[in-house]
Amino acid sequence: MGSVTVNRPAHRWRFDTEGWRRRMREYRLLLRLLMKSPPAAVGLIIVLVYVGIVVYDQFFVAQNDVMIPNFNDTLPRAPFWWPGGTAAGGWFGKTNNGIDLGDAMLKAIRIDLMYSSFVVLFGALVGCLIGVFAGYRGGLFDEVLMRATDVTYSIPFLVFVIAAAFAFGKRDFLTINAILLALWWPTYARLVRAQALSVKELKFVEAARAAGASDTRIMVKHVLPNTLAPVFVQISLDLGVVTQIFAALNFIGFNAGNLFIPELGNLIVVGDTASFTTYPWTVIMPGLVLLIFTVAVNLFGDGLRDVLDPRARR
Amino acid sequence: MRLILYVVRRLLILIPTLLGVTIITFVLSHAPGPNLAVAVYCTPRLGACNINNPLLKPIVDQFHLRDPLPVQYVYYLAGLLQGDWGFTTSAVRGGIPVTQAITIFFPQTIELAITATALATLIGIPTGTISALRKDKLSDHGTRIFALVGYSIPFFWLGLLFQILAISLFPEWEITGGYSLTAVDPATQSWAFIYLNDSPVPVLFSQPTHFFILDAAIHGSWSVFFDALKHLILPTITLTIGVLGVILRMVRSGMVDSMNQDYVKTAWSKGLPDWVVTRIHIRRNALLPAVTVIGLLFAGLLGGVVLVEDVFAWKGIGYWATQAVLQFDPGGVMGTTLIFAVFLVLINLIADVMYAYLDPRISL
Repeated sequence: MGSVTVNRPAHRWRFDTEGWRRRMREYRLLLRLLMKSPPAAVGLIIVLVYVGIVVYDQFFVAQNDVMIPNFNDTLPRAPFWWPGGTAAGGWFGKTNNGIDLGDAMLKAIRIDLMYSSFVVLFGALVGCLIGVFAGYRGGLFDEVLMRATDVTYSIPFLVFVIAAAFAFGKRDFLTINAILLALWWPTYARLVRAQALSVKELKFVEAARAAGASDTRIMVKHVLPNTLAPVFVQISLDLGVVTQIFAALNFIGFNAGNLFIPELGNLIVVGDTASFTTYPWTVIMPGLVLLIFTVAVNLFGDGLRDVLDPRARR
Repeated sequence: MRLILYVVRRLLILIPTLLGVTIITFVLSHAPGPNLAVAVYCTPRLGACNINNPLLKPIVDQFHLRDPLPVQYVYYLAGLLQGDWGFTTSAVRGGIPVTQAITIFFPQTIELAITATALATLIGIPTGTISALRKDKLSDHGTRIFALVGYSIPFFWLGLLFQILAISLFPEWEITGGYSLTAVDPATQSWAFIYLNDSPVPVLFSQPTHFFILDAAIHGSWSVFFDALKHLILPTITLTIGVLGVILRMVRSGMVDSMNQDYVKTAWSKGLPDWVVTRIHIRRNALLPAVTVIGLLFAGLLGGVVLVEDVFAWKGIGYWATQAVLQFDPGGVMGTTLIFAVFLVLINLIADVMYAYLDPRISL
């Protein structure tokens, strides 16, 4: 019998141009399908506008982490289109301490979106890795993971965050984010685990195993990519939820002790303290910005679900 | 019989979950250092809540607070099981045991949560049904937009909006905020007696059921009853709108799904009347998943309750929890976390058992 020769590519880790081109084609198709549904298209456009604001803030706005008060003129002023509003209010009005709402909300969008997307994306990353491991390997790790996620699900999220922040004795953004992160990954772990359980029985996984691929390789290159569709949907829906939770935490007093942090929940507090029934726009405007973002994210997420995961169509 | 076995098995699964919850509250209250752990069981009357305070030696000994954490956990758990949940100073002047504070505050929260869920279910199921039957008509689109906005809207902002509206449109109604003292009958005041920390006037908690509205009805103080009902309106509407979005969405999608099933086509082709097909064939099957969603709903609702109570100064568990954080009261924080978790776990249990009871196809 002659010896068997194996044709191995000379550079195993060469950049896979063809694969990426194929993937980009898929994404373009996805985008076209998404834009066919008007609500999803509207959602995507609004989300992109918000992301544009974040980028603009990050690079072109000076002092983008503090609201600028004007102590010479601390009374709230209505926007000019408001009944009884004057030109002094500008487009968005002014809130307590003479803070210009337009400027403050612009900066608040950056902070809110940056922190919430950090939590969601990092949570998704950690959750996916743990979930695929648990689903693929099974056994004791899987069992412990499921019980652990049961526990985190059995405490209302907001209450859990409050208690954890209290125990750490800190309320700065870093601590709050770490806590949110620690509580956010179980959603993704469960999602990916459930998917991985069915994907690992499919033929191509068997083929990869027969070809001698290691468990790690199968998990990362074969199972994980095929579990990601619902994860993307969940990420898009969660962005709105985490942004709201973040704003809510600031609203109930977790604003790191700094009333001049531009954050939507904090802005509502600033307006709230300035007699919100007399100056309703100080509360209405920041909330509206938050609401529009959440609605847009939900529209986009629903559209994405219809495209990526037609069976789960609601 | 199989149902009973299922309930027993579900109860057994509950034990590790509840143990996990106690481990979390234990770690949160004991791991940051012995002083926080002492503060859980300490009242201001005993002086500084410090582990070196000689007056606190009985507490330190009882809960073994100088021992390693695993040992402490055993005594912590024993304390919990014996009803020794520590003291809270944030809620009531002078401090009271956490378990007693729970009996005061919990009914208020339940009142809010149950009213909101009931209202949302009563409105949501018929509206969702109509929306699905008139799929892609104008009313359907309207309902879907309402549902979308409903589950996207921040609870606390919605509450503030309603306050702005109520105060500017109906200032004479005085329906914002918690229960007002002025409405209490002088003759029957004896059934309500507890003072809260932050209020200059006494805020009332009632006997015998602690449900303010119920007690007012029991004692026949109708002016108090209607006043309490009046103050329940805004927080309930706020919570209802959020929950309604989820219910509408779920009922509609369930209906649309089951409308395409074969048995529905059979029913139509048999010539059954419209209402029989929609009510008995479509809706009954569409509503089954609703039961499990109630559990999920409650999780969201309890998070929302914290915010709504904060906005409306509603003296429930959520209000107590935020007060406990702001006034540095570890007993209060741990007590509220624990009671929220126990409540949520039990609700989920009930939802699961009901689902198993209603759907005979489910494998127990």
